[in-house]
Amino acid sequence: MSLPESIHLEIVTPEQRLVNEVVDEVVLPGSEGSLGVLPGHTPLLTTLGIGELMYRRGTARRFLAIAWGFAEVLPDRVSVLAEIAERAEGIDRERALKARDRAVARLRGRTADTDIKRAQVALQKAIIRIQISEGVGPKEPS
Amino acid sequence: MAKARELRRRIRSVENTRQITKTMEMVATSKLKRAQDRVAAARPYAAALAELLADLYSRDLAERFPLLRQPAGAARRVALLLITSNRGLCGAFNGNLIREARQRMAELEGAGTEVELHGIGRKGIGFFRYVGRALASQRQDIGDRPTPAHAAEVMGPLMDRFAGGELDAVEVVYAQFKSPLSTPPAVMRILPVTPPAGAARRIGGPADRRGPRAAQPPIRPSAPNYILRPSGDEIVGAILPLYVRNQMFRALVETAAAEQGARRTAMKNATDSAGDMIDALRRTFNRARQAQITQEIAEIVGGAEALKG
Repeated sequence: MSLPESIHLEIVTPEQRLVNEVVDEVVLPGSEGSLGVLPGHTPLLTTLGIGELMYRRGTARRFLAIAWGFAEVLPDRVSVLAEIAERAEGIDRERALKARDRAVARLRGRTADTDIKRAQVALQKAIIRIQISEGVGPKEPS
Repeated sequence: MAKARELRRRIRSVENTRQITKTMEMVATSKLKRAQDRVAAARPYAAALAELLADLYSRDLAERFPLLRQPAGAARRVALLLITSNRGLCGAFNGNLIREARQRMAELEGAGTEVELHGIGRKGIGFFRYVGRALASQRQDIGDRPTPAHAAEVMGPLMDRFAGGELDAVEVVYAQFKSPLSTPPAVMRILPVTPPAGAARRIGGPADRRGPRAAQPPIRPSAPNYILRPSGDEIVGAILPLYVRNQMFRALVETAAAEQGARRTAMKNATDSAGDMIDALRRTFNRARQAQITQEIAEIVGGAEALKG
């Protein structure tokens, strides 16, 4: 059996289909760490954590923020079922920054009725959004 | 002349009503379009999730995962969720849903099962308040645009209680969105999770046909050949709640779309009837007016004749 030369990538969330195209490489935020997939990968099923998903077609790279869900990897296709997925272009950086500050403030000044888990999730989401939005343009050396 | 004036007032009033129903029809049409898009957009995820679950499912899992536990014997306690719209003026839409729910309740109670009713949407809640049936929970804040978060909020406590053995099943009464004109009520059993049959894996709706998958079957190994990370059990454990929530989400989205379809149909009928009514009234009005003119002419002629003497 010859190896496939490309991957059909499909990214869906409960609300919409975000990506449905043919790509050369996918990097997934697996729950046990980042996971790179090239055509011909062994069948794999994994849960996803919170992080950035990158896919490449030729030299064009695209980034998405992903939170929770599953990825099913087959030699010639990758299906990502994400609870939350957002394109880098669609992220409002200002809003994400504000959300992060809010979540931090909530965690700092927490009282008995603060929903800690919710604040933590909000914080994580905000941080990944900020990271993704920074990843779009050329990365500046820090 | 009193009759003509009366008729003119009625014509004006029906015209006003027609204008309102016509506007509502147009609003419903545009909302329907968007709701329909959401139903279609939710399909790939639901299909992919069902496929994944069908791949992973095996009979022995049922013993390890509480969400898969089939009730032994007859169910003792069942939660029935009724989704209705928040607003009326959509024909028999809510009535049909309520009837379906009552029928299902009677069926379950006839079999000796205790039914607790949960209401989503003002109309259903209002009805059961009227007949004096207590609701275990109710919410009216899920409007035209249900989100996965709504579904998670509704199902969260029910899943916990099902897993804890307090409930033997969770069912939802919702409106299937087959087309804008066909929105029959239906009962769906969400818990225990009934895995989608492996054979019916391709839920080949029109939405799926575009994918390259339909053209050539993918190289798909059977489930045991997968590398599973973290472990099979953990994946199944994570996928089941997602599947449950997604079922609920789909019921909400379909009902929302069905409501707009039903409203559009109802308002179109109302607009058409108003038009018919106006035609009939106008005809009567013209006849009355003409009769009066004829009578006046006859009187004038009669008067002139009398003067000639």
